[in-house]
Amino acid sequence: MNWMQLLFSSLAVLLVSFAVSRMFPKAAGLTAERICKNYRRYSPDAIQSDPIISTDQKSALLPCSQPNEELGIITALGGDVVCRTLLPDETARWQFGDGTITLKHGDFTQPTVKFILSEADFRRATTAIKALSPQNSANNAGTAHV
Amino acid sequence: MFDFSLPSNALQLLKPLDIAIPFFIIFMLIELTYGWKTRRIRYEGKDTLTSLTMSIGTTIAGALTAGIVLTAAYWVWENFRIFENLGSSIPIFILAFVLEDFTYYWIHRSGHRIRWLWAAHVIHHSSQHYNLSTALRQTWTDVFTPKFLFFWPLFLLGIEPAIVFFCAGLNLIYQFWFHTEAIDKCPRWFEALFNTPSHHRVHHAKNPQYLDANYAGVFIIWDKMFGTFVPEDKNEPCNYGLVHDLDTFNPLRVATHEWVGIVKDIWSAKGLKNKILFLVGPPGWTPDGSRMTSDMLRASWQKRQETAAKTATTSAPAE
Repeated sequence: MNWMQLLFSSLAVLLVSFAVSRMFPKAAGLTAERICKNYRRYSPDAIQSDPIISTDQKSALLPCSQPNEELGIITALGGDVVCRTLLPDETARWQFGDGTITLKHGDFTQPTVKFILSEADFRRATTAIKALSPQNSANNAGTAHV
Repeated sequence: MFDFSLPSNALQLLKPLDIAIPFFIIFMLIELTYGWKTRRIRYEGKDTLTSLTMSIGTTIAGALTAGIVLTAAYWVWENFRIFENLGSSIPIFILAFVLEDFTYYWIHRSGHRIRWLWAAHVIHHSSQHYNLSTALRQTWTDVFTPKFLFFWPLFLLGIEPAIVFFCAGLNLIYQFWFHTEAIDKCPRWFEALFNTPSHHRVHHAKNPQYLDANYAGVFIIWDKMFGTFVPEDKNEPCNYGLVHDLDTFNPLRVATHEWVGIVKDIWSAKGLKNKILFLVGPPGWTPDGSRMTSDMLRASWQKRQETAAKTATTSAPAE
């Protein structure tokens, strides 16, 4: 291995990535339209309700019904959108804080998702989580099969 | 005993990839500038940083494992080759290039159909972007897969490993240029024979109808011969990335996520058969069908298309 080539390659990597970040500004955060469009591609059969979007526009919950009850978890990765589905029989840990809900689940590239929510959205999110997992209804920090 | 050294008369050839690296950077800068001016190409700073960091990791992993791979290759060639004196003439290089590309097709196809190989190859597909930096997003963990065995028939035939790996380097260089949205279609004769940006966009797309298609390296004819060719449909724009996209730019997590998934699945699987199938079955396979393989995704898409067509027919007004 040529160490000089490796050094210059590493420098080139940093410079090119920096140039990209300056030349291509990140897309706007999550919007209802982006969430629904991306989730429709991810889970085409799901019937979507209105998304519950985090105030920082970095994450959202999308309650869905039919053919299965499912909860869409949508996150913004830079300018891209990442979708996941939580089904009733999947293990997840929800932590309910003051206007925030944190999801921890067994996903190696998405171990934690945080939702910062307005009062109304917090109530809607809690209801959606409860609907998917009745045993977790009034739990402030518990592991639930969600 | 197994001797970890190459024969003294082993052919010394240039490493094409080493020479190509500066040109990769130059072409990327040209594509970047074009994308910036026209907004026809999507780039993302962190995504590019991840892709290029992966390429540095690939170089290091390759350097660390090259000795073992080369020694094993020369051991097979020296002890078991059928034709003794194929030599290193130009016709042999051409033959090696074509056979290596044929081998690449099967490696690549297996890389999508066998989870053990997919665990290494998935890295290349883990970006939601399709640009020249994606071409450099390569695996660090090839050495943990049985990929090297695919080349052994070439050594058994009598082609010297140095020639095969030289051709493999040329093949990878060829594959760099078509990771772009800047080029729409090439001349028809070229599209018919060679892999092009249009063919490879389909390969990187996660749209159900595009899954597991166009595995070719240089010659697209292999896909046409073995029934895996799917042309790009202008009415179905490519949506790049994985069916389950990664939610991280961390190169370590990108490099290892599928391996972690395999270990978890094997650990929790009941019975030896299921444990083995989690390794050698197709990505997405589970004993209870709770996850979707690409075949299942395509079948589900086809069913939706048929249902939509039926609905359209029944709801069409009578003339």
